[in-house]
Amino acid sequence: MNGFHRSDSWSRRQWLRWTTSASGAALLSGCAQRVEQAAPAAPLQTGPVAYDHLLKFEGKVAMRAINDRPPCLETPWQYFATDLTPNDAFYVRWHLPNLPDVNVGTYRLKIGGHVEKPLEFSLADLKKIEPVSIVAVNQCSGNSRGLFQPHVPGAQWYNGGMGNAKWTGVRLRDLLQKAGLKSGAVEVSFSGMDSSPSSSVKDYAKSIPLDQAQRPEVILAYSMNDVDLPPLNGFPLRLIVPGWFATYWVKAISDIQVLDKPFDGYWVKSAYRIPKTGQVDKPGALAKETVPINRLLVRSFFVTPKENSAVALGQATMLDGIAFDGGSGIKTVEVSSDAGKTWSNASLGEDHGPYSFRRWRYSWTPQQAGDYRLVVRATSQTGEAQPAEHAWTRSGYLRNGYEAWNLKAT
Amino acid sequence: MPILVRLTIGVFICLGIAALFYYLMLSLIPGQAVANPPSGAMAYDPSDPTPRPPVAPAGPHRDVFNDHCVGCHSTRLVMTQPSFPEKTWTESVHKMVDKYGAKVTPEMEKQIVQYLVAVKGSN
Repeated sequence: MNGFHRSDSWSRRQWLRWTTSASGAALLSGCAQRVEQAAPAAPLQTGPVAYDHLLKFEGKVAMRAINDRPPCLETPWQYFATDLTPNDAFYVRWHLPNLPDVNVGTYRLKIGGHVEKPLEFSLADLKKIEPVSIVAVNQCSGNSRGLFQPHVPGAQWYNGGMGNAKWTGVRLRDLLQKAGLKSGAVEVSFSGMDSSPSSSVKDYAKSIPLDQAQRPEVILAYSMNDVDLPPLNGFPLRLIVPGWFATYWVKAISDIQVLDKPFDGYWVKSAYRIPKTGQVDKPGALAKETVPINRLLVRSFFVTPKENSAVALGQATMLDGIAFDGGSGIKTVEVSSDAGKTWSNASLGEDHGPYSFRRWRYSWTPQQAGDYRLVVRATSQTGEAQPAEHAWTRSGYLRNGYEAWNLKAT
Repeated sequence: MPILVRLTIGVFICLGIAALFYYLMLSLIPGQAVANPPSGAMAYDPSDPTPRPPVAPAGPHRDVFNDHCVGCHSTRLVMTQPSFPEKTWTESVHKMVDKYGAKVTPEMEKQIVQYLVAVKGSN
């Protein structure tokens, strides 16, 4: 049988040259186009594949379990299809393993410190005060940490460490007024009833500056989406700080102290810090100065149709998702179906207030079959825009780059 | 060998090489992570819904880990971490001792790091 060595019309060398250049051409054209149109479906990681087990806690649907003790549960993505996140799918995050066992009859909220008159309120006392409600996004400081590259240690959330609810309760400033602030008050601290078996670990406590505490939106909520707070989300009472990260939304709150000097508790002084404005963290080159994390950054996401699903070629498919910012409200949401080259305005859904999720919708008619990497971005009423690329922080905080969504048109 | 046969062999080889390069390039490009991993990856056993902590996998000094770490948090918190280099695990464990009250000797601290590197260590 004739082999490659024979000098037919194709010598062995010619054959090698041909196949190499042909595959080279395929490589350059095919790969470049594919990277642009269809990013890989799973996050790229330096380590093993992400952990995706679901657990079902009492009062909750099956949720992604980052931890079971203390519970750290992520909302499955489909529950963001409604503007208000259902209580039984709302994410859960506790720091300390001994969750409170509350006796409603003996529970008292104490207010003390730099006040004229320390006070105590039972739950019934609080419910007698004229209630106020606010719809506000609760987002974990570490939401999306699991998507950081390179990885950072901590709770490995995807994007579901957040939720939107109608919170009902009493204004913090009204209670502070009853107690009477002494002059020189600068901050207010809040302590939760969860605890650690280790005596050297301080209870979970946070503080906010006095001007934050005096905002009319800051409430002590006993109700979430018109029912009592679920135990896993802070029964009987939690702090709501609309527009700020959830670390401040202390759960199962029992003690409020007005302070005449800044709080130096671990959870504010050492934990939950971000680079000072104007400085950045980079892997291997961290910002020199840090401040406590505070306001939410503007973000936007796709929700439906489900990622990696197929939509009909040449027909209109309604894409939808959510957007939010730190309290000015959403001005525009834009969608790109050509990986960011051109953008079109989405329409905005019902306005539940500036601290709420804002639904957006966009009718998309793909004209070519194939894989698409859609991108969404939002701009707030104050003009805050998302960066195109996600920035890195040492603790996995503040992720807010453009989000992408893979769909195929068939 | 007839030209048509060589052409056909050549095309198949090209496709194979191109596919190889495609997957290789995908793993090297630091692409932007997408919103969520495929939901098909979720594993839920409805016959065993009790949120039990997982058993710590085998590794050196697992007993030290079990005796001193799971008092405050389940093994699951460790198992849901990505792999980290020894330096990162050393810092994490030291934080547990320094800030979160883990009562271990320096020797035990080293052993816990060894365990974590064995079960969740990267290069």
